[in-house]
Amino acid sequence: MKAFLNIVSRDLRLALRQRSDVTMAVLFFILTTTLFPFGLGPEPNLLARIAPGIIWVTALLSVLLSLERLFLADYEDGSLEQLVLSRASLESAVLAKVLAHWLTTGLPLMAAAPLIALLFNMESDAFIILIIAMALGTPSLSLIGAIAATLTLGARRGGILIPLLVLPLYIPTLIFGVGAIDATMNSLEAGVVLANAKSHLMFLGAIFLVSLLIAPLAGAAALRQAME
Amino acid sequence: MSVFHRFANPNRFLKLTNTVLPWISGLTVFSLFAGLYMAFFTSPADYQQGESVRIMYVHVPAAWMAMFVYSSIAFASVCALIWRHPLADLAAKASAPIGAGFTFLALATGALWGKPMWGAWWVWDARLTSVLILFFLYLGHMALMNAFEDQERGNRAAAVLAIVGFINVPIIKFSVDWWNTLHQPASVMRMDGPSIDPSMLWPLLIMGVAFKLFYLVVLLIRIKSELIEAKLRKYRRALVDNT
Amino acid sequence: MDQLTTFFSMGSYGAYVWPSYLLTAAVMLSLLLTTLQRLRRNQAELAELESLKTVDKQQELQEKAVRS
Repeated sequence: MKAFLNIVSRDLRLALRQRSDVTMAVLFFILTTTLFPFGLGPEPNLLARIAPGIIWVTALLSVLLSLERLFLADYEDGSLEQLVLSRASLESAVLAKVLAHWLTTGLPLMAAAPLIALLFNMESDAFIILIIAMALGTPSLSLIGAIAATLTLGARRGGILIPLLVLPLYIPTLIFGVGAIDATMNSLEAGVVLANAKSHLMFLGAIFLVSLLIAPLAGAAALRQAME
Repeated sequence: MSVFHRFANPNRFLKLTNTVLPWISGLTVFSLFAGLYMAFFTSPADYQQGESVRIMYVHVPAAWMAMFVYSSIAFASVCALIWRHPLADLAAKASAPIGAGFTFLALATGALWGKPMWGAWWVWDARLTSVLILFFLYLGHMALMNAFEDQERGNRAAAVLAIVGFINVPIIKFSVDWWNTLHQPASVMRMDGPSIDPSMLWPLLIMGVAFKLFYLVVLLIRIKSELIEAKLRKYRRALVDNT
Repeated sequence: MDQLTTFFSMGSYGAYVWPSYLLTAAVMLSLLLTTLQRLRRNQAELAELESLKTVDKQQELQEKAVRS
């Protein structure tokens, strides 16, 4: 547990020192989403309808941008090797790295999402669902991303490889994340709204639990291979 | 596991392969021609789709293979990671391009069937979409396998990815089905399995068997080739050490 | 002749049916041929290296014989 907290706090401190790393993902998110009205025209109804999809797709890409550096710095400066040699639990180390990654990427994206929703004229009823969906979905993105990040350590084409590995695995999160918000916006009766959104949110939660189970195992296995 | 370990010995595997390969190859050719004959001459045209239904006899077996080969890769990966079975790595590596080939075929023939039936080369139908994602999984698997200087490391990493991907396949399939029913596609042709007429089912099944046998033949030759390559690497290293 | 044309026209779906089969044949054949080609190349190289090895051994034996 102590080792776990050590890794988290060290990563957070490092991220805060190099502020550009934290802000890059959010900045990319905001800049890219604001491009869409220029590409599609300023019609408010259209923008409101496609806002959930744009927010989720862009959030996905922003997370993708930050994945390569998730383990690379530790791999290059040898601290990963020390970690493997120290016989500490690699599974919990992976979880700690993921938690730090989510705090510096997923959480800022979650905070920025309502702002984008506002710019896209999304109904205010849907805001709360948007935030819950992001809270349940972005941790899965970090977890699944960690698998790809550990598997590609030391690979020749790390940069293009990670998107290729990760994007197919992100599709369920994208579908249910967008679906939850769509369900809120499309239905007329308030009771149905919640019921519709609820099933999507439950699937998002299920995906989170499955990734929470798999990612530490796969990540630790990949780290061991990388150090062999 | 004892059956596995008996064939873990590469020499015994080679001996076995060399004796069964001609038989399986013959069987493949026979079933392929029998399937083709039935597909073109004994099976009727569909009352709705006309002669275009004949695309089914390559499209559906290719789609079956896409999933079957991916499952085989995942199974081989488990054997490679847990039991460190020496042939499992080779089997996974040799399977990937074959599976990717069949997945590509399923997509391409699907498009060729979709154009006259749906009026479009591509619709975001649940099945087509899942197969497309499966194709991406294959590409990622192959790219990761070849991304390292050290082949061993590539095999190991690809094995982990194959297992993670395999766990994800049902999740992806389910989510795509869900997404598709939400967005109500304009018109989706249903090809429900059991209601299919025997005169169409038989050629379909025989083509399915033929494709599986073809996979087996190419897989065995590829593993044989990989084993020789391993021997070559050993020889080259010995030559370098001597000089 | 007429039968042949009706067969190849596939009830006006020929433009979709035949490319499907041709593509399938092309992909399966190229899988098989590249596999066989690689096997042949590896076998040839192995044979060459093994013959080298025996030549080496013969030379060794000869040298030993000369020295003694």
